Amino acid sequence: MSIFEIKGLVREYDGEPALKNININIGAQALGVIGKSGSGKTTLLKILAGLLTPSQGKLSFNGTEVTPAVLLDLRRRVTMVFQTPQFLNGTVRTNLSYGLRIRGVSDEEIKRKVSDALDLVSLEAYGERYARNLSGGEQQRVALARALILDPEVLLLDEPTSNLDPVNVSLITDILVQESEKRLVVISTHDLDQVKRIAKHVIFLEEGIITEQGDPYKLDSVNRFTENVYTGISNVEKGVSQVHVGDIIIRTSSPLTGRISLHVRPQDIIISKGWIETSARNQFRGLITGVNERDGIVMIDIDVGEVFTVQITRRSFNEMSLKLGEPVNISFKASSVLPL
Amino acid sequence: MSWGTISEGLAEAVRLILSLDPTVISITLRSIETAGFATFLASIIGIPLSLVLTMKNFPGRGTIKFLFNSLVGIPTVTLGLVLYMLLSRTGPLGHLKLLYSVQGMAIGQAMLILPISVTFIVSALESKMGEVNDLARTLGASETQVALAVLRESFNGVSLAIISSFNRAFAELGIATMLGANITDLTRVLTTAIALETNKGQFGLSFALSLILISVVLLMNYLIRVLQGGET
Repeated sequence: MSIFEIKGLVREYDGEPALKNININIGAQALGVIGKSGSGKTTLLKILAGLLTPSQGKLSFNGTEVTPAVLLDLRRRVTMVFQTPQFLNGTVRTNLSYGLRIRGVSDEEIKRKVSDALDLVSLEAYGERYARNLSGGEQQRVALARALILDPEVLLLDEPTSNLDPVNVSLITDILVQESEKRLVVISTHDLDQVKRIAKHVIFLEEGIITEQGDPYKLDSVNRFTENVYTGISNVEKGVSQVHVGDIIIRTSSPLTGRISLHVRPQDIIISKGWIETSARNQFRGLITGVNERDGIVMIDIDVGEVFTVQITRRSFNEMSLKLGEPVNISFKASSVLPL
Repeated sequence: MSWGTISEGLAEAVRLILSLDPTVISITLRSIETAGFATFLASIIGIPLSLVLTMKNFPGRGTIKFLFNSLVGIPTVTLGLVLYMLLSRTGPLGHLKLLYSVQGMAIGQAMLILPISVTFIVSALESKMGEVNDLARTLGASETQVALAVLRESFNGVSLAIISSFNRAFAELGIATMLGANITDLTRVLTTAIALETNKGQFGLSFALSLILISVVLLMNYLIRVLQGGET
């Protein structure tokens, strides 16, 4: 049986639709929600969490229609972890205890559970630390522990690891892989490695509509994105993010730090025979490793340390007389590098 | 007024305070009692009302907030006059015998400071609402528990609003004059006494009472810093 059933779901903000006609049944298997910023991921998760109500349509949880009367019960069984963790004023312990205290759990049991939860996120000694003073990664681990301590039937996570360093990303991802065995996990993320590790089923949201869904390894939109998708560590210098991907540095105009995934559309990359003077902030040199033609369009793979797929027309391809194994330069603007 | 009169007045003021003059002490205590009672009334009405105005969405909410915001600047004598007419012996509420009593003054001051309390408490709650609301809810809090969490997180702002309200009541003259009429040993408070003694040319007592007035206000503001755990 489905845990969530969503029929004809619409959510508007001041008349502007954020979600348009969402229909999906969510079973027990971990669900990944992918899509660009503003595609409706957060809105969808907040509706599942009982924090937002649909403008139209029906949402059922465990076979019961979600109405205002059952919202509290839903929220006691479904817990959400937000992209930017928020904390109650006080220590890590105060924060971890809160959900248990309002459920009337005894002090002794709270103490035991807090200690277990801190172990789970490898923050054993952090109980008395002031939550708001922790680093970003530690805060998100506390937020995760604060949700898991309640042993929810459903754990919702809204881009839980965006802007975190790789150590924290892998620590949190490992925990989520384990947790997805015990409860329904719904995660929205920009990290394609993460979604493939955690989710068994993925929906792809575009402007409030599910445009594709399926196995994360087979999904076209994931594969479409896996062409020219790079994951690396970003530092912001002089307003430009420098993303270290393997041995190369990709510059993007999005001011992001931490571990991020980037996408460069094949049609946004220019090929030249040698170094060119250009305003494009990214230029690399490498060898052509693949040439594929389809419908008058040529897809060329160029290995510059990372493989870039470049789309050019048949005509350009002929005029430049490009050949496999030949060295070429590629260039693209920092603003063509899209964060996922 | 010569510098001599001023310095004599100040010297007299210091003498009165240091000698713990019984008149000065009784007036001060009455002021604290009146403003304290007013603040208590304004808080027990203002805090729940502010929580409702912050957390609940209902038609007319904006209007109520606008009304309270506007009433922040209500002239004390105007409010005093209206209440005087209501509470006077022949007025509609005359039978309550509240005119010329500490309770009467306190109720008047409570009405004066309720808009201040509500306006500043709502603003304090709203500033924490965004971060606490979804968090408390997703951790399983009921409406009441969410309200309590928001209130607890807004402690600094709410306590500042309450102390400011107390200070406003403590330092106001219009309502105390209209409803209290500065009756010795009955309704005489710091502000009415200062006004009267100054008229009588008793600058020493006026200065003494003014110093106390300011000191209490400063002390309250100091207390709030300590309470909020900030730097003192």
